[in-house]
Amino acid sequence: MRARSFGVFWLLLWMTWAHACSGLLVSSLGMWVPDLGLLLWLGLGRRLNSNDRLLTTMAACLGRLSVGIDPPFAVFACYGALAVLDSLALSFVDRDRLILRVVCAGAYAALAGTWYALVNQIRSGGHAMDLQSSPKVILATFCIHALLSLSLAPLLARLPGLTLLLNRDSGRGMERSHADSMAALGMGAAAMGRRSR
Amino acid sequence: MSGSRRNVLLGVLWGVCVLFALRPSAAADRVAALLLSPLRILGEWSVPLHRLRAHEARAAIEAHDRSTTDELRFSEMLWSDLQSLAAPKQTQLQDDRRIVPGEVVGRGAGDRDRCIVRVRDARGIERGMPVVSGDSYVGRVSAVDAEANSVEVTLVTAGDFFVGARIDDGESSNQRGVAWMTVGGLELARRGSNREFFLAVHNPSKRERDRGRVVASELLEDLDRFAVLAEGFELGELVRLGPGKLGVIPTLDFGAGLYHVAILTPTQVRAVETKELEFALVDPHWVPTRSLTPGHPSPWRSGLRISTGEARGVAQGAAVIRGARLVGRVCERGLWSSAVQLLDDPGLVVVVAARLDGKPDPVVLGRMVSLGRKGRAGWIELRWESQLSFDFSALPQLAPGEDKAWSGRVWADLVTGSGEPGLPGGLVLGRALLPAQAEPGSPQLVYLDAGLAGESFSDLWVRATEGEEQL
Repeated sequence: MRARSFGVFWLLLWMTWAHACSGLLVSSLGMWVPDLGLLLWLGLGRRLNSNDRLLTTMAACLGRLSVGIDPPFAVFACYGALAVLDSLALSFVDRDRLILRVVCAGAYAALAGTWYALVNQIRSGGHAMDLQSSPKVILATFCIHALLSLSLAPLLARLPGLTLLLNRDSGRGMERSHADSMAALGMGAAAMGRRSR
Repeated sequence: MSGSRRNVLLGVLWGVCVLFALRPSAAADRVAALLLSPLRILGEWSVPLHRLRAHEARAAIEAHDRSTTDELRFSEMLWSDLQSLAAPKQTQLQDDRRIVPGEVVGRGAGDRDRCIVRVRDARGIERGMPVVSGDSYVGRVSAVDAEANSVEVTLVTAGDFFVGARIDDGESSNQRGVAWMTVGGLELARRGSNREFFLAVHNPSKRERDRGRVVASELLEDLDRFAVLAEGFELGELVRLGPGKLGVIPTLDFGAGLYHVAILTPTQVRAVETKELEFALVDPHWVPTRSLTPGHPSPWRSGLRISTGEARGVAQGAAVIRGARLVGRVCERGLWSSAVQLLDDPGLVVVVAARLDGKPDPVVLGRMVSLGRKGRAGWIELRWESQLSFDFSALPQLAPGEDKAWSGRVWADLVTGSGEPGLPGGLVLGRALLPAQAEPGSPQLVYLDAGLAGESFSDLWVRATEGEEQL
């Protein structure tokens, strides 16, 4: 029980820092900034059972709310919807499928970004959203999250303290999926190298 | 709890969240913010991340600090000039009246036709006294709060407001042949390609007259003992809006361009305070604060969280400043922390006044909405929907360059205007490029160089309803 409490503490800490790091990177990366909180949530989501996923989702919401300015209802609604979508996706396809992870991460980030922009648009009386540059930002969000879901999300899920939340089976599953993604990245790089030659 | 019951409960909670996210309710937002107040502790955890960017921020802060004294002086001077704009200019409008300066600090709850005006001392001010801005008529005092030194003013735009008026064609008001009318309330009509608001005209004595300058002039002075004080103040230009329908093009932007006003009292009332108001930057309603976070974790918005909340008197919409410069406005407040929309956050609303290069008097521009940082050099784009006509084409304009959007524009220094709760007038926004001409109802873009970037936000101050420490 104590170990689990420590796990929750670490989860909140890392979630807050992940979102804060994204905030730190916004000024230099602009629309290419990754939502590290979302990636951490995705990375952990693959490792935890359904009860713990609720906990992770809650922690992700609180982490974002503690450093961000989005309305609380919008954040809870966003992560709630993503949690349902993720469960649905996992119920249809094997959770270790590389393509699923890539597409889901990109799509979730793009959906979340669009959702927050839409909420701000409605709350500001219809002036906030720039319809010209929005598709570009959505595309950039999709690409960067799809890419980082392969390399960064599994690493984030291995941050110190988070193993206290894991059960053994899912942990093993995670190790396998991480190895798969690393192998896939390696194969991709080799293929690109051959093509360029 | 069984799994299915838990899922139903979570589904309902999710539905509630979606509903309140898309149909904002002030009460629900408030409850959520209060319940989430302990998140301040999590916010504090991210403070060490600031240090990662300390070296980047130092240069920006040093550069800004060097200009702070100049900005404070500029800000106070412009605020004082804006205040003097509210006093009547024509000598016949100054005679036999005492003029009490006031600053609009907010609007009535849910009623844009009533505004709250702060004065130095409300003693001697009575219900029914006329309120003007420059030579233009604004409305009447409808309530006085002597304890808070504030008065409520009902604007001429209110549906239940009527003021006697005449066309001012150089003749004396008691001569025969003068066109009389009653003015009050608003009329929405199309003029050219835009739909505009006009002051409504009722019972004109000469329907065929559809041109001329309309001034306040009460025929029934016995019914209103202060009516004579309003005599001669301008309401606007008479126009025909349709068959048998007249309107007045107002000289003021009643929606968002009412910053400073003057309350007129008879000379017999000796108790009134006619001295200028105190500059808001030096009043005690500022509380020191610091940013808890390095920025908002998304490219769509721009904001931060500060370490001060409702417990120290921070209200919704409160200004957050650094030196004399507006950094942003509070958009959500918990007990111990608040969320701040920065100037480049899309959707942030500010009321603006400007000093244009080549024009000594400040100009009241009205409301602008931020569209975020865009284009060259990360300037902030502001959407300006002017309610009045502006023509700055006689001023020096930017030569046609490589960027077509910028050519033909005029340079100006922007400061905040008054009239929004928690946002005092005179706070520096930055250097901006304004369009040379603007027409009512047609949106224009304004490019603002706000200077400070988000990474250098230390030494912040937030406006509080009850201040504790002086800036």
